[in-house]
Amino acid sequence: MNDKTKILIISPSEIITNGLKVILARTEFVVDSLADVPATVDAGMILVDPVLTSYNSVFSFGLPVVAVIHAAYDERSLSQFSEVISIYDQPQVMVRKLRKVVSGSADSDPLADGKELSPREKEILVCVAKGMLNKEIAYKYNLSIFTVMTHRKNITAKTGIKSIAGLTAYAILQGLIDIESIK
Amino acid sequence: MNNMDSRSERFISPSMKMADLINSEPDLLSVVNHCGIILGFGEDSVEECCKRQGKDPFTFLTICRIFLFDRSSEVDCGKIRIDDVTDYLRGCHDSYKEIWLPQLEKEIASVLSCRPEAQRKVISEFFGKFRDELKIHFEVEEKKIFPSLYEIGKRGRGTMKVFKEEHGNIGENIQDLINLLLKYIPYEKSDPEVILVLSRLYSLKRDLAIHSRIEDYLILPLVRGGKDHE
Ligand SMILES: [Fe+2]
Ligand SMILES: [Fe+2]
Repeated sequence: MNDKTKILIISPSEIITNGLKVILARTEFVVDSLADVPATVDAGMILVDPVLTSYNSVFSFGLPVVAVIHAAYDERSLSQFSEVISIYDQPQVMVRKLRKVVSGSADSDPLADGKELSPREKEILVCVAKGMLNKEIAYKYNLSIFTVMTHRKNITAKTGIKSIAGLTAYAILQGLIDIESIK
Repeated sequence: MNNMDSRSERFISPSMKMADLINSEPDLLSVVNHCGIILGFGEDSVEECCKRQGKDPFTFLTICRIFLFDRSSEVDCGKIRIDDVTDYLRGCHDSYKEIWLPQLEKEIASVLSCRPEAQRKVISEFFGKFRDELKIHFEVEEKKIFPSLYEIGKRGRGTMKVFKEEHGNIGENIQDLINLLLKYIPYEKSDPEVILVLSRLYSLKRDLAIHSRIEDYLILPLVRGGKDHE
């Protein structure tokens, strides 16, 4: 289950879906596809075509979401994806990007080896300390829920602190929030 | 590693001298204590000591084995005496509530007495929350879970998931407290008192983990009604 990541491709285009399937057939990925966003997902990663007007709802599954683009696309919207692949990418580039997403979602995130919290991690820590939910934090910073979860994992990996109460205490001790602001 | 385990496990037997057992594994003093076995056992065997205090030697040794070796493979829940296990667990709860926690609270306050108010407050609030949650956990065990073990039909299956999850949370919370005190209080000088408090927190963490393990191995299978293993 760990070495064979299931990928769900969501695109209304059969050319894109079938093209990706051919490329991914030679890899460790197991591929499934749908024309639109389903109610539940049994997969480890989602590849979505952002032409779908309903694509925003894929972020609610808490899985890494990769955008499959075939035209110029607005940068800000793309920032919420874990990764972006273009249909003009070389197959090996595409596969490399997808593998990076899979290893990035594992516990051994190379980013977590860094020492200090990044500015983004600090912002997210403050939100956590204030009791915000992942989905509220994602909305506030225009990130995917998966990205928020990755940041939270990294915060815990760096500090060694897991509980919300502990993270709140840490944020106060670091002067990131005022003790009164969480009352 | 497994070989080591089985070799050292074999040396524990009902016929060995209680004093020899304790001398070779001093950590078991805490089991002796919480099982209500009184010191001064002279040359008596484990079996004799247990029987004199009205305790079941098999149950006592099962607790000792889980305490020392972290394995459930040889635990025979059908043969243990539930009363002895719950007495032991209650004994542990009492010593956490009455000795460990109040002492640690006092010591942490003393260690931080020179720190700014905000730092003292953050730590004392975190500790207070940890302590209160722990006490509630103990209370649920004593008032709901332990009594339910005697009514086979009523054994609360719904509680088991929470029970096990909480054991994980307890360990995480105390590790959080350790990290806050170890990493994020900007002390001005090296202070032996802080070192002492931290070593006591590590001991408490270890002790609580063993306590939870004994519950997971000996109580959970009963709560489940012995039906499944995972
Ligand atoms: Fe307990
Ligand atoms: Fe417990």
